[in-house]
Amino acid sequence: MTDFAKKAADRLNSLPPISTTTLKLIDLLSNETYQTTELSALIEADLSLAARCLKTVNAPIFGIKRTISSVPHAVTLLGARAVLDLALQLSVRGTYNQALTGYASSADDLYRHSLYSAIAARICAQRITPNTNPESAYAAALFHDVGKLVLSSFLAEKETEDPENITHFLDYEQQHFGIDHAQISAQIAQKWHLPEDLVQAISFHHQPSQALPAYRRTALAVHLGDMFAMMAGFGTQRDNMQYQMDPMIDEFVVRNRKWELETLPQIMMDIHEEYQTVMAKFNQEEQAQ
Amino acid sequence: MLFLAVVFHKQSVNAAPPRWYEAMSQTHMIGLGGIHASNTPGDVIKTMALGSCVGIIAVAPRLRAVGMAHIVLPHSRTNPEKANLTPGYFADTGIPAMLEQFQRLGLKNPRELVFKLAGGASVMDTNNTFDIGKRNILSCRKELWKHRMAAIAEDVGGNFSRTVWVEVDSGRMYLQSPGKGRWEL
Repeated sequence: MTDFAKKAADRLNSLPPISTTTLKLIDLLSNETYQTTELSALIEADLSLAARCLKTVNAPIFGIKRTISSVPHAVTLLGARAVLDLALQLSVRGTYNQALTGYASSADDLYRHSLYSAIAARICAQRITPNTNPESAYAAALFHDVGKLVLSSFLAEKETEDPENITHFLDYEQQHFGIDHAQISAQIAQKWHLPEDLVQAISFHHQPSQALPAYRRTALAVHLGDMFAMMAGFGTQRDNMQYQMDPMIDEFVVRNRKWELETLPQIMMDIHEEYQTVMAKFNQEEQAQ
Repeated sequence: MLFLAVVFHKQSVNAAPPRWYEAMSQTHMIGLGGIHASNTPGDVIKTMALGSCVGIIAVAPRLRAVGMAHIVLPHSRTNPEKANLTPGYFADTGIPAMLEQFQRLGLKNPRELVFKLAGGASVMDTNNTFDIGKRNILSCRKELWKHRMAAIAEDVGGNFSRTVWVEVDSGRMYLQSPGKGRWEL
């Protein structure tokens, strides 16, 4: 186990750090009285993000006929949320672009899963768990499975064993490694100096009821986002659907006819539609490839 | 003469498929709400990682055609506009739309079709609050019954995702799940 811990720590340290602009953006947008000038000053300081904003706003799909060449103008047109989306996506894109062999998933699966979960978590934060900051849920969900990058290669060595009848993949990871991907994700989030609510939500994204009371709702939103992604087929393959729903959901959802026939299908559809929009608007080059 | 016939037969069996065959045949990937039917030799219709979604697979033996629909939600009343744009999204609009595609390939009687269902998995959930998979399966069965049809085989439920594909040449349908291997239904 010490050998595992050492190797895991090595892998953990080899992950590239998250950009400081992204961290500052998360901080800035988490308090609701920020100034737009602060926002655009932050973006202008980060060349790659500024370029990405201009590129996105000038893409034909945005439908603006003039060419926008000033960063503050682009930021105003995009809106704070879209800018944060771009920054987060930019910061995870390179890191997530590798196949998780231990989870039998291909190079794009982790990115798609994280993006789908993030969009789903934001919608859940708005509609299922009231009084939750949707942007925190979004950011936490984008990083919730980053620990799989560390665990994957160790899991690949265990592939000979038959993982049939796994009811909870987290227990399976615990049995073999004494740690699970959520805990490793939280360690990485701490290393990246993400805010405490994100670290808690990431750490407990499979057991939100065990998070600190102040962060339970965000954790639940991430938990649900993760589940919705797996249900729609945007999982990381080997562990797809093999998780348990936390009983905490019963505090927020009453299972009745309306929920079954209207609310739940509507939420699932809206998540998928927004995912498709985001993919079309912000991931043009990935789509073209 | 008989000897020649045997040799020719052997050659025709062992020979690589002709070029036109490889040029024309392809794997059609269908996404959420997608429907596709084909009678092109060599074609494969495939959908990846069905979670709570249900794949309806239909085979028309006389036409040598196969089809698949990727159903996401049980009923089109969730959003009738979406149902107009992407009928395959919902069980009640997806099945008629798939029948239409088969009719374009020459299907006269829908009861010629042989149906199979796959998918509809769910996560472990004590109250089944999020069990849309089960509702999708029930809805698909019900819609088939409405057309006086039924699936001859099902591989549904459970807590794992399934990748499904069906081949035009053999009419066979296969499933795959990471860690569980590949099997035929």
